[in-house]
Amino acid sequence: MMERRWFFLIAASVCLMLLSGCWSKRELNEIAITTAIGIDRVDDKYKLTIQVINPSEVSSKQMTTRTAVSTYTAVGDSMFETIRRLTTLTPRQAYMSHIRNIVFSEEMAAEGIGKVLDFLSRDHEMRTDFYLTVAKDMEAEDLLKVLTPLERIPAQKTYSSINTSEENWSAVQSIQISDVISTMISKGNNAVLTGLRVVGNPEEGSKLTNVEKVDSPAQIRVDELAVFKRDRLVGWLNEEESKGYNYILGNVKSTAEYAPCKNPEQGGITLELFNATNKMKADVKGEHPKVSVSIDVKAAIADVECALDLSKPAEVAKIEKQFEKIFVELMQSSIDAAQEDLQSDIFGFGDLIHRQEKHYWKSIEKEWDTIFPEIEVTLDAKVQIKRTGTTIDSFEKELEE
Amino acid sequence: MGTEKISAFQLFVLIVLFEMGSAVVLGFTFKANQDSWMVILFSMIGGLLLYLLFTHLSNYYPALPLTEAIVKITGPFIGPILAFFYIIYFFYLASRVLGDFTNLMQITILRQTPFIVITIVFTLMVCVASILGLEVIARTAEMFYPLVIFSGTLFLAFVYLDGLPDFRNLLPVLDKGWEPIFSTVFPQTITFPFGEMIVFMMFFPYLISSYKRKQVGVLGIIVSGIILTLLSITILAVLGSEGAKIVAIPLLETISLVNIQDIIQRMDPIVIITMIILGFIKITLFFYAAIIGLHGLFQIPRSKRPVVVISAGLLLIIITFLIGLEYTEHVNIGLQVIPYYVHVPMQLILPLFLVCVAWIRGRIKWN
Amino acid sequence: MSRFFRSKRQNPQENSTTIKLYPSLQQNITHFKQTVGESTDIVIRTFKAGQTGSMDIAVLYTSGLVNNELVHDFILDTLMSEIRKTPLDAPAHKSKRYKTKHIEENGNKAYQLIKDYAMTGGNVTDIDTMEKLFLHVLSGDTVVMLDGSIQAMAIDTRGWESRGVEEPSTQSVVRGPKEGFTETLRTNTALLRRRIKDPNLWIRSKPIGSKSKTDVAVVYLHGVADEKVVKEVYHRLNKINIDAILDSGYVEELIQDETYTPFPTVYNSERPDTIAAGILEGRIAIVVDGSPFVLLVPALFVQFFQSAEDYFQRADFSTLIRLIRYMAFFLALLTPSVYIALTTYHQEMIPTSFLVSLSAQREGVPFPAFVEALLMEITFEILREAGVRLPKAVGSAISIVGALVLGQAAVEAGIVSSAMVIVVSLTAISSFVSPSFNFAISIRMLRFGFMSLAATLGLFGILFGLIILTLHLASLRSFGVPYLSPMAPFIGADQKDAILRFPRWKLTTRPRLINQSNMDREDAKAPKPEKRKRLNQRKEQE
Repeated sequence: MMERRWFFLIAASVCLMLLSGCWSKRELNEIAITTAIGIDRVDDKYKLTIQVINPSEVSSKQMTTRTAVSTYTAVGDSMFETIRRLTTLTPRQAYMSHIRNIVFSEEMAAEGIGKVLDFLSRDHEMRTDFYLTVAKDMEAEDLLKVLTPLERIPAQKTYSSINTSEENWSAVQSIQISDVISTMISKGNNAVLTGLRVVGNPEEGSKLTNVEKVDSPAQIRVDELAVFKRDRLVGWLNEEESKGYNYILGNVKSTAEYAPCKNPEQGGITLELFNATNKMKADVKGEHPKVSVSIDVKAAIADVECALDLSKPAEVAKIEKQFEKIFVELMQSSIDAAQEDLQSDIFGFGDLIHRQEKHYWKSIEKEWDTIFPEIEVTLDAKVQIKRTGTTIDSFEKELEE
Repeated sequence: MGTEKISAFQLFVLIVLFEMGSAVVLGFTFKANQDSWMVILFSMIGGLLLYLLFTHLSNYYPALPLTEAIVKITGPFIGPILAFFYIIYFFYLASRVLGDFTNLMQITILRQTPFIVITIVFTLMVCVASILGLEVIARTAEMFYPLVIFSGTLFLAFVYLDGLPDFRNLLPVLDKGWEPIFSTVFPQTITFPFGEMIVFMMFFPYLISSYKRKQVGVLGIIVSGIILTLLSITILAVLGSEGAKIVAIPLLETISLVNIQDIIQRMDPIVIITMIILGFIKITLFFYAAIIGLHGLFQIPRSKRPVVVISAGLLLIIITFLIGLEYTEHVNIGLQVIPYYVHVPMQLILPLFLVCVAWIRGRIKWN
Repeated sequence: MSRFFRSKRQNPQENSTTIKLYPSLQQNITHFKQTVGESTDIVIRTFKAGQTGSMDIAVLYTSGLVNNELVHDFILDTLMSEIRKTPLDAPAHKSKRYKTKHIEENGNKAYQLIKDYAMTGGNVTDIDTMEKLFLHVLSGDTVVMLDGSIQAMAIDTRGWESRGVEEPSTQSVVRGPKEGFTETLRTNTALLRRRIKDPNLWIRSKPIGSKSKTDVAVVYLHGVADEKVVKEVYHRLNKINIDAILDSGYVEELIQDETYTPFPTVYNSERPDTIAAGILEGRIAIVVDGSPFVLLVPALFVQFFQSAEDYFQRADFSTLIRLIRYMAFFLALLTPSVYIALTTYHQEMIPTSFLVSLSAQREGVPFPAFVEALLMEITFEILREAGVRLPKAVGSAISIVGALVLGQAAVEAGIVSSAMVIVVSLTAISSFVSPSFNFAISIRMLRFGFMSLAATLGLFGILFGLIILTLHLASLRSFGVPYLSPMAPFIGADQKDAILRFPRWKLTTRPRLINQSNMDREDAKAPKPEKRKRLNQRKEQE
């Protein structure tokens, strides 16, 4: 019976606590759901832009004349300080857990994003499932202001664009903070971030008219990769090089590749890739380490404009050979860019050597940055055409006859 | 010892949950970089040896908890002092773990809530459990056991289904040789969480079939060791050793990355719920061990249990508040000072000493 | 009556006021009339019988409680016409003085004669005290008293107007027996006896309540039920000291292990099949006269998720349904609190698009989520209570008002968000799933606690509540059996019929903690119908 009395005592103290409670509470209509942060550099200060959702506009069924998102910009000495300073502008507290993108301006990225990443990974209100991106040739602030049709939240649009094109085009790569941090710390690897750019007129982008037209005057596009060395931006890979980069690393899930026919006037052949695997090997016997990369591509013929008889295995083998050459060229262009222009080991060849030959790696670890441009990379591609589509013969051939 | 009894299965469940307790939050040390998972395996073996030492010690007085066995072994002069040391030790561990979990709650889900409030709520649970007794604690653990195992499986399933792990992160094996592995194994991981099993010496007398304590304990350590190794490998493969080192709670970080087709996403509650349950079990066991020790040492009757528990609970809140407020300091002390100066003497040296004394006394008696 | 019922403690008043029957009939009748205050429903018919017509006989019964036909045809008729000529009284030639002197001897002789040779009633009991006389007359027996006898005989003629066996209004099933218990004890025990025709089905009863004298019967399968639990039940029933028992709920409250718990530790059912199944598992049923709800102990947590129908339907289907019930239990308990916790503390755990739409709904709602939820939940509880008490004809009107006017209008007025309406309706529907009404009540109570915990500490608060709740459940016992068994303590063999329901031929053991001696049920073999081919072969052989 004693126990019961104590139980009541405990229950009473719980009730007391309940009365004084609610410290971390935030009602849904007291928070501003932030979907993207843009970080610019202005005179040694951070210029932060947040893109905030206007929930009733996003989920309303009727057309309204108000935009689905708003942006707020503030300048401050540190990230956290600036975020707090934003409350002088926003009616509600900015809520950071639903961020989809972090956009760095090129200037910011060139100065180094290490400190920002430290803040982002430290602040536990932020989940770490957002994508890190760099805005090419423009301020991050302006990029966040571009309104997008179809997907009402621009950040969500960018997020899904990256996802879809990663799956279907494979020129870009979605980069999360955990990827970047481990590659940045590692001596034998460097990070890339997804590049964003606006095609069309950025001025028009922030107006509601941007989403009222069939063909939006300003569109956000993802097709390039920003290359970093340590935490600084050193340059860009263009679409081709980005694709080569993804082939080398085996990131390609599915894409399309085009090769001209023997007679270029006829047009070309397009392959639909459905599987690409890579193999990397390091060889440290010689003076400079050697790396060999081979990829194994399985594809289907998606489109044939040439006069070819695809029922003959010899013809198919010829196409395979042709594409193998194209893949090697693609990869080579990417390697060239990394070794010559950018001098940044974005492929993680250093880590590869580390994994394979840990003792050798210890001897060259410190000079890796100078060794990397010198290493010899042998590339090899193997293409297997598994399907030739539902028509066996190209009827282009019939037309010719 | 009253009529409270726990079954062998209940002991097993308690051991597994206990082992996974703070290990899930802080026990994963990634000091040995990509080889950290080996650290757990080796510590498990060391832990097994320690456990065999404990059961051997308990063979001398199987019907008595550790503190009372100590009094029997070392006599009425030193005995109570040593026993009291152990009570303080258990109590201190309870407050350390409580501090860990309070901090965890603060950095994850209750950012603005004051430290003391979370401590009080945790202590309330622990007090209620301690008043109700070991049998109820064991049954509660038995109820939560499937839940914990289920969430663990779910965690692994989601992470692997999403294709997050990249096993290249585990390479190269033995990058810096064996040295970093063994320097983390001893004394750090071997004492925490495996050496902490010494607390179960307080509960052996309650076991129905007490001859099973060796098998059950060994099985429990192996099972929990394997689970911990699996989790550790997964975390390393997902985050990479560098990534795992810098984040506060690697397990939570890993699950938060899961996003399968936008359907299965934001699975953090799985980890947080499991953590709270595991923390509760761990704190309760330490706390309850201290309470049993107090009862035995000062011969307090069972009917005074609530008074003892409530006063000890108040003390627990105060001590936790004092030692746990500074998180970094708290963690540092936990990883650098405690293993050497507290865990090793209490978990290894003293038990060895006791075994020796008991053995010598046994010899003398026989001759 | 059982010897357990004879302990000294229970009948202090009876012992102190026991009055033996007087030999004189007149004295008895006078005393009787005085005590009942000449109540008009009690019939006292006196007449004379015997060769000389000098033997005074009185027949006492309460009109309305007896079966009139029985009384007239078998008692009055027998006594007044058939044995008219039997020499009950003293021989005519004896003197008056002799008669007065030997009146007692004579009366007793006559009493024995009537009892042994003449009384055609079935259940005849001897009465020797005034108290028993009252008890029998007032419970519907007919009492025959003879002048000079110190005993009276009570003939069971109970037969009052009562409700017939109807379909039970609670715990209804789609498939299965549709009989339900009634308010009459004998009907109820008969319903059980009809299902278990075993000599080991022991039914023992005694009246409880100093004023109501309600018959309470303990029914169990001797040799299967745990003797310790049976003793405990008797012990607790004997300890009851109350003036009246009007429903089995009184008994339940007086014998349960723990009063301060929201969970029922005594099972009750209106269904004879459920109770019979419980008895067959080794449980003990307590039937209370005047209540169609029969109690069953020991009651375990899992029992409240089992419906009689689980055993009448296919095993796989029943397992699924049981799992759904557990799910509904958690939904009913936690939905509002989880909603509150997620929307006010852990928005990061809600997928973005969902959060945006929730957020849009909450725009303009003036209250915090907790107050909003409380408002709706309380409204709903009021509606439910109103629905139960209202006459059936008005009931449907209430549901229209509740559903349409309150829900729809509140959303449109912007007082609550539509997500909250969904949450509350989900909770409400889920709480109706539990096959046991009193268990559903406990969920309703706990829900509010969880809501306030969620409002204070979010998910952590909910977990706090759940841990305390589990600790509490783990500490409960029902007649010595841990409430959470067979989950905690874990009993492998009993898992076959706890959360899951295994095929019937697998259920060969009784629950372990309920009865520890007689574990095995009849060994049922898995049905293996002979294959057509083998049948054909046999035909050929023949």
